Amino acid sequence: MNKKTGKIISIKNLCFAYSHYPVLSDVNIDIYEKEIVSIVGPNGGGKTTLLRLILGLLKPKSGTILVDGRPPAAASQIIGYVPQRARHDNSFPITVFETVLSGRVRSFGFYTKTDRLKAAKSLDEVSLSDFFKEPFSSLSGGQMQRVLIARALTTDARILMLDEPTSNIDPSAGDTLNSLLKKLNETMTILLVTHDTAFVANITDRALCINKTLVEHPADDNFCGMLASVYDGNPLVVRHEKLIEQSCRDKCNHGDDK
Amino acid sequence: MNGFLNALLNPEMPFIRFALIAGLLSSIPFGVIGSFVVVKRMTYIAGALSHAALGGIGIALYIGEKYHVEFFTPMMGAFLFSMLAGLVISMAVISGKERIDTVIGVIWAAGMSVGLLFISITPGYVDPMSYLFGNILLLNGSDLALISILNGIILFFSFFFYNQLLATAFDEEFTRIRGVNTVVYQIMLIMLISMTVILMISIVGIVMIIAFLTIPPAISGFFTKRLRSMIAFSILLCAFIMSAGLFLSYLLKLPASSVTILLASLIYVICFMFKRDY
Repeated sequence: MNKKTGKIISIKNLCFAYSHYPVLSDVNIDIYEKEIVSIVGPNGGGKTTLLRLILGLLKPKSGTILVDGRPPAAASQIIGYVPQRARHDNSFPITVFETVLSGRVRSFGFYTKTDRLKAAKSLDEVSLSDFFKEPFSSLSGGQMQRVLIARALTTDARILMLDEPTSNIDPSAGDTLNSLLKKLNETMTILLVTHDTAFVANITDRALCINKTLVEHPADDNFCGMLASVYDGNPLVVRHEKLIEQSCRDKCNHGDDK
Repeated sequence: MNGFLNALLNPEMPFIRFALIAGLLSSIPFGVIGSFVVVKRMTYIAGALSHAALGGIGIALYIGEKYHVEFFTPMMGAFLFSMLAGLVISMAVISGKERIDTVIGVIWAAGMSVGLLFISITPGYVDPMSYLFGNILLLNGSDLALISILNGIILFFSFFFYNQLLATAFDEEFTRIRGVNTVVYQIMLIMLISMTVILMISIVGIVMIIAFLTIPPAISGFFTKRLRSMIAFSILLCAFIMSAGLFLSYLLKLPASSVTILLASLIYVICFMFKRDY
């Protein structure tokens, strides 16, 4: 699957450390428009740190990150970010529409009619228009994830970045998310950080395995088997263990047969 | 009931009118800022700010008595100390380098200690009880003017920056990525809490501030699904509790602040049993 057009994210010789503890070392990668790229790796390997560096929330110790040819902080308007859902307070009094509308927030001023129309359109894109008056806290895990995607879409983003999108959602919601991301990928670049190797194998063009430094792999049928050999077993799977292990075994066996 | 109404209209008992007006006026900041305190789980920050205020009150009382400085009133001392404590807590929250509960604990204890120390060395007798537990019946016209000004400031910021405060409260990181300077809004919220705390010192006192800042919004939270509705319901509820508490304290001849807070707590318990689950 080669959809490569122009470079949209370019990372060169990136190093990062928290205090004196090195987290990322000499990371080099180019991500192209309309690719779906996954960042996988063990806990503490630097996945979320890399995401936060691309978002401009952290500054590299050395090396450069360019998003659409600009430093990350200057490119925030083209990035739609979907954080881990577990970070949100589920009792916060906010409706689905207000959550999506908050994607249009500016430093000063009120929301405009255009903001409201954009929010309504984004909610429609994730097929949750019927829920716009509902409290965010009343939704299921999968629906919450789609609302957060809708919020990211209100920003006219060209890159969608998702942090652990399949955490705390059931397999059927994972399938819905998979279809939604494939649809969005027709117009956007998608970068996702995940532990869920089965999800990665199903959806992405390339997988970036990161554990301080970065190794790139094509996400083919033998992806799970390859991860097992690289990481001495399969340390990545943390959720839906039996289901995913079975899925990996099936895929890896399938790959061996070939 | 008639006796209370007569007392309200009696020109020789203005303190009851002032108390009711103060209660109704303060319902607005209690409802607005209290709702943010509850949803952001900042109750202990509010507690630290109120107890830090006693440090300013103690110093102001000491300077006033010892050096006859009249303009530096206890209210002004409370204002300065509470704002200073707010700034320190803001910096700790933003930098993320210190454990925030430790910072809150230090400010809480140090503020109380400074206050009690200066009150103990102030010439003459100073009763700290009115500051610790408040007395709404001691308010006068200039207190009402000060409450109105602070009310105006709180309303201005919470109306014009509502969307930014809501977005920051719900998801600070996402809002920052959108290019909003969330540090400014975090500091703004803590400063608004400081102002609300100062308002409340004269009404419910330092010790009971946490209760009054959290109970009405917490009750509202049982029945509302939007922050905006939670704020509106909290304001109305606060106005009711203030008026009813004043009436009951007049009827039962008991301290107004205690009666008001006990009434609020009773309503909380009843509503907790009948709340809707979203």
